[in-house]
Amino acid sequence: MAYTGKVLRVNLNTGSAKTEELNKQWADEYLGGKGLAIKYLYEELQPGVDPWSEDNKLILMTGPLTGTIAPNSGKLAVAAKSPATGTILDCSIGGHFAPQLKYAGYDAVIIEGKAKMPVYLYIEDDKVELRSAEALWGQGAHETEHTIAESLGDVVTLAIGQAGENLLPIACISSELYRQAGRGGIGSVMGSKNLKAISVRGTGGLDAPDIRKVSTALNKIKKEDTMDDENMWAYSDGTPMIVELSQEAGILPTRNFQDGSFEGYKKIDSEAVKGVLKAKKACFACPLACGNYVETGKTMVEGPEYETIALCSSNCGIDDLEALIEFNRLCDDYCLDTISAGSTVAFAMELTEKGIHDFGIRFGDVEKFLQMPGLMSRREGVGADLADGVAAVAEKYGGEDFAMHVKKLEIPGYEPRGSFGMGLAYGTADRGACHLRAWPPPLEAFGDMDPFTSEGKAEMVVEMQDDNAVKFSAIFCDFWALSTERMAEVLSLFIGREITADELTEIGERVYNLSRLFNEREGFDRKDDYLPKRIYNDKLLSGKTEGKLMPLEEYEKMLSEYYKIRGWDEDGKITEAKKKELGL
Amino acid sequence: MRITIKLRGPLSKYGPGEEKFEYNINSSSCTIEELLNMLNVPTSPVLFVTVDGNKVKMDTELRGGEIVTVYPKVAGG
Repeated sequence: MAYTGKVLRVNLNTGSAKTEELNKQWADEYLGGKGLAIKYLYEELQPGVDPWSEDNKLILMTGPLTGTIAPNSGKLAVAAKSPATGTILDCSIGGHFAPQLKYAGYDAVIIEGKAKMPVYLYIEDDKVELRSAEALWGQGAHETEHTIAESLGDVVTLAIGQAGENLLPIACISSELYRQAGRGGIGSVMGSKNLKAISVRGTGGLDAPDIRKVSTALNKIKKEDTMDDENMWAYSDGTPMIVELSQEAGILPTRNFQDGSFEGYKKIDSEAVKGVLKAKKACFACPLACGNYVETGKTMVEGPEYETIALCSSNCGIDDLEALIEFNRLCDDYCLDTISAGSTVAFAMELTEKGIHDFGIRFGDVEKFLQMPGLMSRREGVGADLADGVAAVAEKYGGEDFAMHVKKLEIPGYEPRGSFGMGLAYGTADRGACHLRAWPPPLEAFGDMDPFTSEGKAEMVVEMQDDNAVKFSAIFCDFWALSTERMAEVLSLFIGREITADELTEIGERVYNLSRLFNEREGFDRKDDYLPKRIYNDKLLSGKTEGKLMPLEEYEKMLSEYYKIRGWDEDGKITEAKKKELGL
Repeated sequence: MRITIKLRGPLSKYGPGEEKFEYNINSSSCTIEELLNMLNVPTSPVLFVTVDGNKVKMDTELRGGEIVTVYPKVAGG
């Protein structure tokens, strides 16, 4: 009942689709979502595959709770080999796609090959069609979704914009206009396959095991846990709340991570966002409704999320909320990852101001700022260079020390010099610099742990990574802070057996090690787990973290301790003993 | 003594409704912890508290006239 037992495999070369059985043993070992998608990719991809070739695969993976009324279970894992980094890549997109796919009868979709001409995939229960997308190619994601809705009616769509079509390593996939599978160039995987969109409608349902027992249990959990004071920040404010927290802690990225405090923060914080808030929006089965639908006289977006504010506002020296909202809307339409886009624009600003290369844009330049999403997505003007992200720009023009990426994925919205554990989390995240594998600031920068030491950070990051790995495999949304005990309680209602918190922790560790194994096979090791030199060498300029940097020796200490706790060797490679222990 | 309080986000429900309000304490001094007790704000959903923009510990004493901001826990990022 938790799984349909069916995977849809689509071959874009032959234009055919077939249904196969879900690998049940893998579903037991990896649950679904992140873990199960990575397992399929690990088994099916050859090492060294070009992520933009027809040999890469795109996997859409649901979880055992998808389509049920389990709170916060409505997200979809989207995975492939990353064109940006060459590592394993899994993203998470909200909205309503995952439940529709489950109701259509599928646990997952695996897309292989490359279509000769632009197509979009349409799934309606047993009916699976590849339709021409030639008329859609060249459109933004918003027009694409509208056009498809006009011909297909009530479907949920994943779409790419021009950024994905033009193979930007910073291209994302969007759904319902304003939700994304964001990072690592996932949108360009679709673009490289000539796949413009995937639309689904499912008219089936799921068997509920004793619906009364399940509903009673879930309603109780929803009231006592999901909607308790610890989680309702998402409803009351959404992620913009974090702007104040980061500013207070001195970890708000400012002017390409030159500083951790931004003088204009009050114009872009959650109170500023609430000033233009028109409605809240929720994903399937979510009572937290973190989505903020905002509208000014000139523009609108569902957002802006904290990451967008941090990387595109303070990081670009921009304190104009309306301009940020418009930048956000443009990125969502062109399908640009706002973290990577904001970071690349900020890098261009610093290179220009330092006289290293003139991209014609300086910090705070709103007019040029708003031109960037279009120029980058169409590879026009300065966008031709900036389209490929900070690592590529640095390789061509210099400024490597302050190209703010790890493994070529741009660093998200928390300054590591004010949160050393966050730095370790960036260095050891599976897909490049990411805040969604481990997120130390609540315990460190916002909490009681000393942020400026390596002490205890490795242990914390390992625990957080394993927790999130199983959380995103079971598929619970990040924003519900729930224990593994609670995860076990909810899963046990649906999977036909009692699962324990300890089993879940083991699954989390297995998933995290499998993603590391994938990367090892691609040639990644310790040398790739470091931060840009700015973090080790440059002092922050003002506010609560004035004068702070992260000494390289402190980072080395954390990294070595991290490998030890993980059971990996000094080069960051998984030992045979650990592989055996986890069944890898 | 009189202070200004901001209960941010979901914590505003422990106040009069508005996030920001004036509050009278019938004492010449009061710690942050005592203040939260008076307002019936449970400690588990509190992330941290600032006094006049500076993060403080729970045993910090108030004297009157300060702006006390109480921040809620957040998950994810």
